[in-house]
Amino acid sequence: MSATPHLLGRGGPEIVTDSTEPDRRPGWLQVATSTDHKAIGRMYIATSLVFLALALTELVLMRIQLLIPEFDFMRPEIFDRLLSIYPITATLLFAIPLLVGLISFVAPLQVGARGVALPRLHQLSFWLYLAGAIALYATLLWSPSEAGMEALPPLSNRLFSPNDGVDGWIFCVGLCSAAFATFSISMLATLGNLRAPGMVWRRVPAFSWASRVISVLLLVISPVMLAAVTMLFIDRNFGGVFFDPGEGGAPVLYEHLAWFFFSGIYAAILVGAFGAISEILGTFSRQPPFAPRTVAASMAAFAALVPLAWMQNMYSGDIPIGFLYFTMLVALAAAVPFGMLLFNWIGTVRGAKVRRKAAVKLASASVVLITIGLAGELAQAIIPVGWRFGNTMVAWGDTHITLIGGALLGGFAALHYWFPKISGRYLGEGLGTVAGGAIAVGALLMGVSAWLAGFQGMAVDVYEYYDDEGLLLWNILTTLGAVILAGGTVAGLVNAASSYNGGTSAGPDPWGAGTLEWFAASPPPPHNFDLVPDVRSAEPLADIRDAVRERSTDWTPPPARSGGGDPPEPEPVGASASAGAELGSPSGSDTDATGSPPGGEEGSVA
Amino acid sequence: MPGSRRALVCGSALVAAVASALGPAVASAGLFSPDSPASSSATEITTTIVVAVVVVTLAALGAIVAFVGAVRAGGTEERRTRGTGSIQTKVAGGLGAAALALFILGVVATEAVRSTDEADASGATPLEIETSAQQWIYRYQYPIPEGVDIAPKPGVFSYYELVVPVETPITLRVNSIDVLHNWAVPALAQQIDINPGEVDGEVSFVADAEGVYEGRSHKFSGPGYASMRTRVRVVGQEEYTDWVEQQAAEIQEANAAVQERIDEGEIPGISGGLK
Repeated sequence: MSATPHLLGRGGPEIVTDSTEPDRRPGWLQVATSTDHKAIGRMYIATSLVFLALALTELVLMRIQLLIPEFDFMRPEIFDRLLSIYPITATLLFAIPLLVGLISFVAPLQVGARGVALPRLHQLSFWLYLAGAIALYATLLWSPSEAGMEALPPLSNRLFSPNDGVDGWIFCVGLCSAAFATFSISMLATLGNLRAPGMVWRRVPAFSWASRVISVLLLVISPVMLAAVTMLFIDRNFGGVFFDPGEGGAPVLYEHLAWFFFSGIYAAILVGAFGAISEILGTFSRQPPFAPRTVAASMAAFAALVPLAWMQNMYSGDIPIGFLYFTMLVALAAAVPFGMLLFNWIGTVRGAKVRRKAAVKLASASVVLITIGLAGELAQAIIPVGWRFGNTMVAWGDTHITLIGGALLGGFAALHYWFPKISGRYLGEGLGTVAGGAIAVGALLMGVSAWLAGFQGMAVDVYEYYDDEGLLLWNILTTLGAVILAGGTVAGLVNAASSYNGGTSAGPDPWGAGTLEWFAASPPPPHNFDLVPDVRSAEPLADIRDAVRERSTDWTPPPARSGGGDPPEPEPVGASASAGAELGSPSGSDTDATGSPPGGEEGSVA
Repeated sequence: MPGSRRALVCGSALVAAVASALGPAVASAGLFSPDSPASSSATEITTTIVVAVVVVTLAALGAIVAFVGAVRAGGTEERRTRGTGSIQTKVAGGLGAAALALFILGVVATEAVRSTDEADASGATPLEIETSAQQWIYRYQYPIPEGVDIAPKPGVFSYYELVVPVETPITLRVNSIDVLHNWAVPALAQQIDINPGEVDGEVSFVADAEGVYEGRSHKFSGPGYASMRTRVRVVGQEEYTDWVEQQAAEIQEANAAVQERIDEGEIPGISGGLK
């Protein structure tokens, strides 16, 4: 039940109500039809984790096939089907939806909104995503796509892929693109219009800035891919010639559009990781954020530059050298904002006593893996290196290290951090740390072994390799890394599942953070905040804590009255006129319980 | 802070020394095996760039850590003010300069590789070989040398193995008859995508030494993609001419044998002559 809109401006009473009648529908139906951004966020996160398990299964199966030369563990067609499904599952069905789910849950809370601006559109985005996922996995029942990661024409045209598998693939990618676009519209409307009073852009925290940047990015790239797959669909089913060289079309057009989209997806995943890492490192260093404006600008610059360098995946193509130079310039320029972010993160933690929680450890591991991966990508952005190692396992290893660092380690770090807010319980620390360590070790082993295989000439997407190529050792190590990675992920998923209902209970503010989402209860009620505070700085919760502490320490009981009658009720903290002015409650005298942050005092003054 | 700056300089110097030692070691370990001017310069350039990036990354990380230490020592208040503004600009400027340096290095490297791709120093006309990629094999069609008696169709061709003379500029004119392919023999030349419908794709190289060099396609093209390999056999000039003549003779012999069977009606459905 969406909250009634609160009245902005001073002086008017604020009425907050969730529902006046008990909901008689079953719980699952309530969740499924909910337009509450938190419920939708939880659904996104839960579904994305299911697809994480599927993606890793597909990866491990493919790696087993590549364990020894000319292994016939599976037929080439089966391998090609896994190959076509795995990248989409890993990026569009796991990484982005996990990020979107976290944004959906956290960002409106962080900016002090009571809900999203367009709840039905928000809800629609989840169902579009789920429909796309079902479209792809339903093809497994009939004839999956065998056209590879991107379904490049002419291979994905009817002539070479006669069954309908590629159509299912097209529907998945198209629906997911539409889902992300609608989500972005809803988030941008929310972030633009529903921020708490005083939450100007320079006070918006890092993760919400990341949400804004990611929403703009997804809104820009999704229509591009939607157009590309629509053209492919028309070519396949309605006699179109968009990508038919004989009739004036060009397959390279699809390559350009698809690579622009996938570069943007890559950037979105990384920017999401950057936002989460900035929040986590800031909170656990217990220090004010180090140059937050630079963090926001760097994330925006990174998100703008990386998609513009989409041709770095096409260096072997027939593209005039001037465009390749432009691409190289933009790709190298993207290293500058990333370097600025590294500088700011190191600046945030240096000299501080960083609390050793799983969230911090996973965030640090995420930074390490992303740095190593991006250094490799930087090298391959240079044209002769790209000519040498493009489309080899060197590129595969790099992409995996970077995206596992960003989506898997960054995603689990964010889950460790926000799990108390999402579920009201802590995500298990011990198992979570072990899982994160296994993921990091497995990913590095897998990626570095892939580099070594690529140096020796192993190409990507091959179903088998041969005895005379000398690739056995590297492939064994890569497979071993994949298995360790999968084991760590399973441990992490088990941890999440068991902690959701059985973990240690957490209060509203378990980490002593400074951002506004910790002001709400854990988990927050449908209307998010009982009272939307005025924001006076970039750390509104720290200000609230300071105000509460001042009132508590300065408070003295009023003098006892002589004679009969009950002593007057002590004024609750926050209901006095001065506190009311501080916290922005509409009229101090009428409010009592609404004036104090729910549970905020106990958790945060400690 | 003199102390941390000294540490930074020493640390960077150490890293640079280790990396420069590693570079030639890695290259000579035969991980890359260059055998043509294009490829050897490409390999050296590649190694240099990879090493340079590693050095730059490590130096940047070291510089950041050391630099930030200096800033942090100033305390919370100072850090708040010093964390913004001039320090951010300096770091951004440093990173930007490093990125620009890498870009210039990249342009120089690219031009070096491209210039060796073109006609070689002797100015000889390149030997043009038609390379036709299809699912899942390469077909090489050779120009017919003077004095070899064979019709242009079928001409001299070979599947899978490309035979070229040593120290001769070669240009492969690539085309695809079905889907998107790729040709990559790293020891000899840069990889090239082969787009169907494209008529002017080409890659050039000069082989320095005789031998056999392996390669394969790097663009996924269907279930047989893993087996889409190729081999370049570099032979002496005389040997090449002999091989072309022999190949022409063998093709004619094979065609004649098939024509005989057609004439005798042993192959149902085909009459007349082989095209």
